[in-house]
Amino acid sequence: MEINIDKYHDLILSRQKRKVEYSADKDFNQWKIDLKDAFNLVLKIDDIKSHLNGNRYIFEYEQEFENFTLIRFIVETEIDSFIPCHLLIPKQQKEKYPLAITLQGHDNDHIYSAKGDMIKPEEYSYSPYGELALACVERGYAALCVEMRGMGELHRPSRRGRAKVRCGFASFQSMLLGRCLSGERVWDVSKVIDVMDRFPQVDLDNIIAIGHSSGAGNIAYYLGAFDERIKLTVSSSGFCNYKDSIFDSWQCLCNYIPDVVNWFEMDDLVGLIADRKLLIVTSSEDERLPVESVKKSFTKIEEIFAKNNNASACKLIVNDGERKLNVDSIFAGIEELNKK
Amino acid sequence: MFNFDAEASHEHIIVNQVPKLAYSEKKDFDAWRKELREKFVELLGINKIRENDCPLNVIVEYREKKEGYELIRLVVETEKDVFIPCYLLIPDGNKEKYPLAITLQGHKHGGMYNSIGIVKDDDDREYQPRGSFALQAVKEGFAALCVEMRGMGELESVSESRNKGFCCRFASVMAISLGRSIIGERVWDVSKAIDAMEKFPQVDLSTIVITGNSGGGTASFYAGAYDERITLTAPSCAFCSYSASILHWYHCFCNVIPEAPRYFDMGDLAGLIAPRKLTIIAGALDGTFPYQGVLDNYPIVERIYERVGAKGNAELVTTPKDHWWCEDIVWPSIQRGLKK
Repeated sequence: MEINIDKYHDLILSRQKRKVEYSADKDFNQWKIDLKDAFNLVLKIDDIKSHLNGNRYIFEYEQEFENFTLIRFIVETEIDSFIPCHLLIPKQQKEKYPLAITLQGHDNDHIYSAKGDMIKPEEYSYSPYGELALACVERGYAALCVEMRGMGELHRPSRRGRAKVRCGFASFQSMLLGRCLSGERVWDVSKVIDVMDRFPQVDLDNIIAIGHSSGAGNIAYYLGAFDERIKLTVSSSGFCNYKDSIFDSWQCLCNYIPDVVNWFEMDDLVGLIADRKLLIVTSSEDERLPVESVKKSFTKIEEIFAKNNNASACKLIVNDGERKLNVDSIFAGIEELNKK
Repeated sequence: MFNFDAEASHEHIIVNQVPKLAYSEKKDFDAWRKELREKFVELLGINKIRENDCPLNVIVEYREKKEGYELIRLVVETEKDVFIPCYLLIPDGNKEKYPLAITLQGHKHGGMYNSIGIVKDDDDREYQPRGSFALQAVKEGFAALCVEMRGMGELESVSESRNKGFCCRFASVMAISLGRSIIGERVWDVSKAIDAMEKFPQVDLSTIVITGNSGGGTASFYAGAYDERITLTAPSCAFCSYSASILHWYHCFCNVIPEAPRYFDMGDLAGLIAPRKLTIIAGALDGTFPYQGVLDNYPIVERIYERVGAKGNAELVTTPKDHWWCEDIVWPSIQRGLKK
């Protein structure tokens, strides 16, 4: 007889009922409350919160560049969790700048995307547009780079083992401790936003979160779901239902969330963003995030936004070709949403 | 510049947490064991697996006469529509019944075929005859049962997009995402395979041994904790404190039971095996499950067995090797354990 574990997985997956799946039959407001509780439960936010340690801010240095001032600081987001950040404040003679939180995905020293000269050009997979923070500064945003746990400065080369992808061990350890890396990353960024009130040049009523690719595009989306201060969420090459993406092809361990199948799909979470704005950017030939699945989810997303009396506040952009950071496309989408 | 360690926040949790169900002489033993079992079953995801349970379904694919034994190839439906291949070896001889030895492979390419001495390439050739666990068991007078571990051998992903990197990685993340663990699935499969043995009157189910090396040793240990029909549990190169092994070394993801270290260590789980027999085989030079970690946790085992009045039923056997199956030590240890 045929032995095929992939078929077994697909069958078991198809039988799972998600406890807070969106349905038009449900009481919408109650569903959103249940969804929020489920989100916090599954991402283990309460456990992380129990380790809060005053959210300490540590200034490191300030450096002047031609078009911006760079401030490097660290925030202790929970006990012994020190998250390095770069804040770029444009020199455009404005009193306040809207804030763009820029999150990089895998394979780059992420927060150094703010300063291309710190990385050898040949190491950039998509230079010059890899410098997401710089692109935001050019467009009049203060840009906040937050290092993702397991990446860049928050990756310690494993003592031993198989960690070809940097956040493998951090993910592994996080799950053993009853957490998940996605929850920890979301928490970290949220705690960094808390210290932004130290910077009077930053307009905290106007915060965008932009994440590109796996490890950041999904985190930006979860951040938008978690932190209501995010007025516009941009998930670039980071959104697709789990069934068609991470459950159909192996992707970095940091994408996986224990028990998630029993609670929600990725598109269900839009219920927590639907009172604000959402831009999803994807690519027509992204092998890991199949475009047809993204489009199908977007129909549901539009329905949820409409139910929230916010129908025009979501947008999907599909760029031709393989996965690629397309800054122009992102900002075109942001501009269009901001007009509404 | 502020010095920080990328892993310090997790380390803080690891160092400061006392597992909530750690064994203590102050606790009421029966109440503690009951609570431990409930949490163990929950964290392994067995409650979730049970939702997909099915009536016993055993398919005998073929029988072959071999020198000294009969080889039976069977497939057991362990969950609805999930089929786990097994080999059962019944010794030739005059006995009506033979005690059963369940032999489990670790992360050796090919999985259970190694246990019956099949060689397909140079790597297999190098592993023999050491790796033929089932043939060794037959020589020792056992009926031998090989159960394919999910994610390994015939149960590796067939799909190219899922089967990237280490063999059981994708199956492990699927399990976790479903609220299970692959260890839980493997334990469940072993238990169902024992159920299947009722179809084979030559198997004496009053004496069941389970053993394996590395990943197979891990599965053996947890199966011994779960299934009380197992008379003697003999994990080789698997038992170790979590702190000395998986919490600080990037092992295969199949070792992850989410949240387990916050409730118990491996030594505490002896509370689910005692007073049944437990023979722990460990390599003095094992760098994968370091010997110091074995020594850290074995005293817990001794204390538990003393408490239940079965001190002689637990034994630590040390081999002079590293992460190595020593058949010349394992089998005499098992025989000695059975005679107690």
